[in-house]
Amino acid sequence: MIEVRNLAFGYPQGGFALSVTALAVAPGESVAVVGPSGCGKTTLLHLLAGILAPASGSVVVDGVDVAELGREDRQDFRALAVGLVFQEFELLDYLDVLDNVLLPYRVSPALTLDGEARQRAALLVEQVGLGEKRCSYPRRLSQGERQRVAVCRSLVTRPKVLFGDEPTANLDADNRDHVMDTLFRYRVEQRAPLVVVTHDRELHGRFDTVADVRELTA
Amino acid sequence: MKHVIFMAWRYLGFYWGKTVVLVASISLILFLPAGLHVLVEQGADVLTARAEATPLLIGAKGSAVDLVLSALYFRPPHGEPMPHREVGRVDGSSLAHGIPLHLRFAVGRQRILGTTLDYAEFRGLTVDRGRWFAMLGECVLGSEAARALGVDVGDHVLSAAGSAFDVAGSFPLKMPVVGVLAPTGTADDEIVLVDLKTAWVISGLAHGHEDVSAAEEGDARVLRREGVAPQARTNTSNVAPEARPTTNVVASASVLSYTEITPDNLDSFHFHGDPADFPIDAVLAVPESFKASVLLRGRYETGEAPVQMIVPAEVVEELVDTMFSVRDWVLLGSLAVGVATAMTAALVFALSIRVRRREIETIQKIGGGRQRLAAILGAEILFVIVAAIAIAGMLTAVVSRFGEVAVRLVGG
Repeated sequence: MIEVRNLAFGYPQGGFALSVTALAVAPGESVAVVGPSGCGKTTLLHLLAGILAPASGSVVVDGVDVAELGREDRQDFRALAVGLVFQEFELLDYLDVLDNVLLPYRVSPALTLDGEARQRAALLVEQVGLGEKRCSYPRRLSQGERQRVAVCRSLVTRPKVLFGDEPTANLDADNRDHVMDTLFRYRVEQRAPLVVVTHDRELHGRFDTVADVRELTA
Repeated sequence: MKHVIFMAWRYLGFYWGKTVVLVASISLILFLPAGLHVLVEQGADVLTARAEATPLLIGAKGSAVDLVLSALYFRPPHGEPMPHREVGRVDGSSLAHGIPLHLRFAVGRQRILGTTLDYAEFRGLTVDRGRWFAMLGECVLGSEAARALGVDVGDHVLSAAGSAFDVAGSFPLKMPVVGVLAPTGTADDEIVLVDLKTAWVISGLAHGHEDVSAAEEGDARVLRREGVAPQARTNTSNVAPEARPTTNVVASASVLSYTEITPDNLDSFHFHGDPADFPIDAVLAVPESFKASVLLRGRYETGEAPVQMIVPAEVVEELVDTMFSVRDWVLLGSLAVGVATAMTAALVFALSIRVRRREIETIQKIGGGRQRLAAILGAEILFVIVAAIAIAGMLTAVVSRFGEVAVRLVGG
């Protein structure tokens, strides 16, 4: 589960600051984070995922206080416990589909690429309907296909929590549903908390909770 | 480490165009000074070794460098020829033995060296296949010359005509190849070796044609007969003077001139003029001793002789000094270009990292270690540099392996 208490964050150069008194996401719970542009949705997600370190307060994810971790440990924490899906997919052009899915294993010293991981990657690619294109490069894929690859990359390490930053913003309705179905299925199967930043009101109904950042920071 | 290598390799392979340009430019900038250094060193060694093996050289006054390049490395002679009597002058001094060199003609791109068998003995040349020339018109080929011309013992080669527009000049002579020399690794491998008299035949100083001395009056080949004083009779090399007729026969153009010397027509070949006046391009003088060498040089330096005597080793030393000086300047220039290339390459890598900022951020977001990220980027640079060094090394090795051949080709 995710538990936030008295979280405070400000960028070193000043300007934007965020403070959240309390936020809790239970295992298997899905939360849609909403709010106007610039209100701190992505910043909050980065704090929960351990990408950013808070100035004060605690962010406990699966029993680990991320705020207490150093830079190296937060890196390992992200590699081992966090699955991240981005709006712009962020695939590497020079790796094919399967190698993009296996990227966390290539770049994180905390993960070991073994046969099981390879099998899992191949299975995930198959499940999202890209089995035939596992050797294709991102430039040859459609937007929806690229995001499906990105989702596979976020799931291949079997993360404890899942975060999505506008993962369906660039997709058509079919691909949007396909991506969200995959993320929700994983949430159910692994009882993993799912926190997604989204502007898409049509998706709100699928989430257990819709949290407005303005209310969280009030 | 395997993941670092994998990621770096995939990146360089995917953007292979950029990789090739980087590797090629760094390779070239590494190879140019290294290759030049090796080439100049080898060139100097080749030039020096042959020059040191040639004690003294006599040739027409003019450029000493041209004389050395012509007589030692068989480049076409630029200066005027000198008379053959210079050989006799050397021999007559009792201080040295003179070996004539005639280099005016070629077979294709292979220079014909007209000389005596003393040259072969002096250079230590041995016949690998066939035999030495024994008859006028025969030739022996250097190993590379035989390969270049695609001929062997039993074949024929044709000397190149001196000038298509000079009807009084040299005509092609068909020469049988009677031998091929064993390779020596020197310029001698490139030559077509003939007897000096054969070179004179090619130059038109001797010729052979149908014997019309016994032709009947009214024969279309005879224009008229003239009496001739004994002292004005034609000089011959192969035919005894007493055997020559006491009248000259003025023949018409219909007389058949021979373009190949065979045992059947050998006797018809004769020389016009005094062989002492016949041209040669250089005399290779082999002194009896160091003292004899000094004495002989003194004679040529103090007199007003129309020829010059040089010590090839001294000339080549000056030439090599010039080569080294030029090399040093080129190396200095290469160093400046190298610094510029290194800076450009560094800029390319820096800009590349800037362009890949989002990719780097993504890797960090999904848990990529900073050290591993640095290792991947470092490996990409390392691969490019190692590949460039390997290619530059291979090119330098090729130059090192074939540098001597290149030097000889350029020299010849």
